[in-house]
Amino acid sequence: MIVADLFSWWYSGGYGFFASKLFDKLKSTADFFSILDLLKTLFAPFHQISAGGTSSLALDVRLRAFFDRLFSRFFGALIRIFLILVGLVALLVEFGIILVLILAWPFLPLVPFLCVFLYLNGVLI
Amino acid sequence: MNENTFNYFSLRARKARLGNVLNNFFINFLLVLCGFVTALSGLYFLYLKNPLGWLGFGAAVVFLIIFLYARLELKKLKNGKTENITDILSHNVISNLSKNPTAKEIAKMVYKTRSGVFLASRFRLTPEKLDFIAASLPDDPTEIFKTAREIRSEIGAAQVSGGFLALALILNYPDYEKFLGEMKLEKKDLIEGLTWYSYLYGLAKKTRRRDGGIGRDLAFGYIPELSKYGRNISLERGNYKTQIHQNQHREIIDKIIETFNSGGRQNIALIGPEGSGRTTIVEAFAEEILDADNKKVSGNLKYRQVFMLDSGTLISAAGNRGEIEGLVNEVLSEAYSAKNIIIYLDNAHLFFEEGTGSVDISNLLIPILEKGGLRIILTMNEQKYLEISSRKPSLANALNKIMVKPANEAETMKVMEDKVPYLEYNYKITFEYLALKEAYKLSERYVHDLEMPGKALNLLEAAAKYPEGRFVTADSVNRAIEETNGVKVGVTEDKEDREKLLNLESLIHERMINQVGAVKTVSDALRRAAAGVRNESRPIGTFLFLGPTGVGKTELAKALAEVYFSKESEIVRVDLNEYVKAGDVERLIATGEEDENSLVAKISKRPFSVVLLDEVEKASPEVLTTLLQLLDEGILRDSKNKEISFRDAIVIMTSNAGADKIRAAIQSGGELKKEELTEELIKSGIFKPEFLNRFDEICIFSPLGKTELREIAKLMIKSTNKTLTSQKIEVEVEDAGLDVLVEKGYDPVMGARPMRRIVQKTVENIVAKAVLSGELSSGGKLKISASDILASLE
Repeated sequence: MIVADLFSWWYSGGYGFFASKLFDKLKSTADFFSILDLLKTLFAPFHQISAGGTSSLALDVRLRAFFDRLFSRFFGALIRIFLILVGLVALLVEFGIILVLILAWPFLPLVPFLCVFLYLNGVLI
Repeated sequence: MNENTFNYFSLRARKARLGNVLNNFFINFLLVLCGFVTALSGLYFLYLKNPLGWLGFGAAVVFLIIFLYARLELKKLKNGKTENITDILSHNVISNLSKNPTAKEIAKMVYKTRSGVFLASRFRLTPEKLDFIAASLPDDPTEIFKTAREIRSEIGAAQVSGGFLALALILNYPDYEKFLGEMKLEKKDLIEGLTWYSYLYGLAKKTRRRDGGIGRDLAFGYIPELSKYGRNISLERGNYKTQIHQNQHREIIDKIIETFNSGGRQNIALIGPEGSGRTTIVEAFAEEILDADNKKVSGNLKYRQVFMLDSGTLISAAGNRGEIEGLVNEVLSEAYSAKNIIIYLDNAHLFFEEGTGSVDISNLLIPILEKGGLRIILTMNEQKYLEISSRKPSLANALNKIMVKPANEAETMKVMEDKVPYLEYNYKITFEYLALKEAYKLSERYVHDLEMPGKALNLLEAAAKYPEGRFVTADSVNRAIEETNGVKVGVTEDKEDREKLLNLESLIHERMINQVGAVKTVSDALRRAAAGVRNESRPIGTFLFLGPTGVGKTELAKALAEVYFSKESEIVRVDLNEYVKAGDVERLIATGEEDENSLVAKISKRPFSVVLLDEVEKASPEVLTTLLQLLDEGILRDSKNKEISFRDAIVIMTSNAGADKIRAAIQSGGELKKEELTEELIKSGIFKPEFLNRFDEICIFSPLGKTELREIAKLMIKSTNKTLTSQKIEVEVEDAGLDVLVEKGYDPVMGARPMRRIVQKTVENIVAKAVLSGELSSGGKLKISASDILASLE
């Protein structure tokens, strides 16, 4: 009875549970890299350096502030692009592993039978 | 099969038992080890071109499947498909039950489950107690399961765990109310205990929330000054997993989110008394906006950091007002530039008024609040808000006001249940449920400078310093309030105290002569209070002492303070002949800051004392009307409308009114009835009937005769001897000498008062002269005769 339950669980509740656990992990990685937030703020000044208003200041100061801000935005974008790339690679790798595991799950109980078959037929690699 | 019959052979029960075996640490380890060994040996054999390797590989997969099944399915069994008891029992319970479980077996099994242990430790349900109950129940557990199922429905829990079965055992005990009563518990307390367990269990299962990740704060500015002077509440609350139980808190947090989501003035003023949970609301708000999955929070509010600014820190960091303004300006500019900061000013009135620990920087703050560029949360109490808004109407207009009301009992209990795990972690102790109840009850009664739930929480934390073993009990809370507030709260259990109360009359008569009726009346009232049968919404006792001067009215009050409160000085005395005008009410109810000698100021410092209000007949009618609430409900409202409790005081009012009538009645050899005297006092307009009716007892003090005066003289000499004990000197007055003292000290109008003067003038003077002349030295005894006394009077 227990063995039958094991198989029934494996192809019903167990499969769903296993998949949801893996996707939770993927979600947590996505949250860690927060790629969407990074994209939304891609060109925002890095840590608001030189981000204040300058409309009431002299032209040369405003000009300097403009270039400072431009640099801050450029530097911020560089950091963010780097993080986005690292995040995308990490997510892709993780997604690949998850996909393999999910695809492998239904076949796993068949592996012992397959192994016995290969043994009986003396198959070698 | 009956739905309350346990099926040992059901698949769920089998799985539970198997799960118990497989999830044992050793078996788990063995499975993993076997998996690795067989997989590696399989690979090795295949490497050696031996097909046996496939078998090793296959075996490794079998071990892996068993391991996954044990960990993912058998470790925590879900409910079965039906509502049968076998399908809803928790994993720990079902895996431990035998084929035919009995009540006794269930009682033992309870302590193998987490909820059972929780209930046992919080409610002092020892194994002996449950065994005793189980022994009186039939072996068939059907009724126990049925009751457990009902409790589960009542609480709304998913499964029936050990705690439910413990409670079901108790509720099946025929005399369970008495059983619980002996532990000072009710059924609803245990139900609440299980709800508490379910809540904590739910918290433990909660997964970590998504909080924005590494890119979250890259677009926000650096805040070095703000980090130096402010407290980052968001950082502190970052990984807390609390739930806010107070319904009004939920509404208020939603209002704050709504206000900050909208484009209006970006400030919130939380107006409410201290202790009502204003800071808790801000902390909960800080937590909520950190949650990436919270749909209510808009993008421009999400992940904002709440920083608390404290006036004391800013004042101590800056030298003068100008520097403080400069510093605050710098900190706020930084917060504004950072773009992710919400400033929280706790006790915000300290930033709008001059004084110790406060500084008026409203010129700087009001424009910021009006402009709304920087999000700010302010908290203050209603009184301060009214004061400041009358001085600075522009401030009141600039604020989005939200009122915070004190929590009720159920809410306060939930808040305490929420905080207990943190207190337990910090103090390494366990709180019993009754400690929480007691903390609510006592703080409600004795703590007046804070509101709920703050005052109950403070008391609960104070009780953590008085654990019994490693448990904080109701007695720990009693001790905490006794130590911190100087009150005596427990029902008298100490043997010495009980003896004292039982013999109160004789103890009082050791220092008081006659007035047997009055002494008995007050003694009875005090015994009622000590036994816990009095009405706790009134003072311990309220008495009106009527009688001529010098008959022992004040002396009885002092004797009570000494006997009941252990110190003669535990007396709050106010002469009401100083309160003869209508306007004097204000002086009577002035707060401690306004007048430290007012009645409410004195009782606030000494809530557990004898309140002696002398010459009540001379007080103005307005003062007497004010005192009606004191007599009736045991409270007075001070000039700031705050309730001041007199519920732990013995209130005694004295009056000479009707003294002539008492004296005349006694002299004529008759007895004056209390009813007659009160009628007379009402008729003559001295007191109104509603005033006299408020007293527990009206005691008539009869004038003293020569016999009583002689006893009083003896008491006074005894008192002189007590003073001389340190010098080891003794004084004795001969009988004839006592006669002279009585003769000279007797005054039917003034009572015992002249006797005090006579004893001083004669006995004490004679002793003083004898000591100074060397006639009487340490270890000596002085006999005073009638002639000595007469000579000293010349």
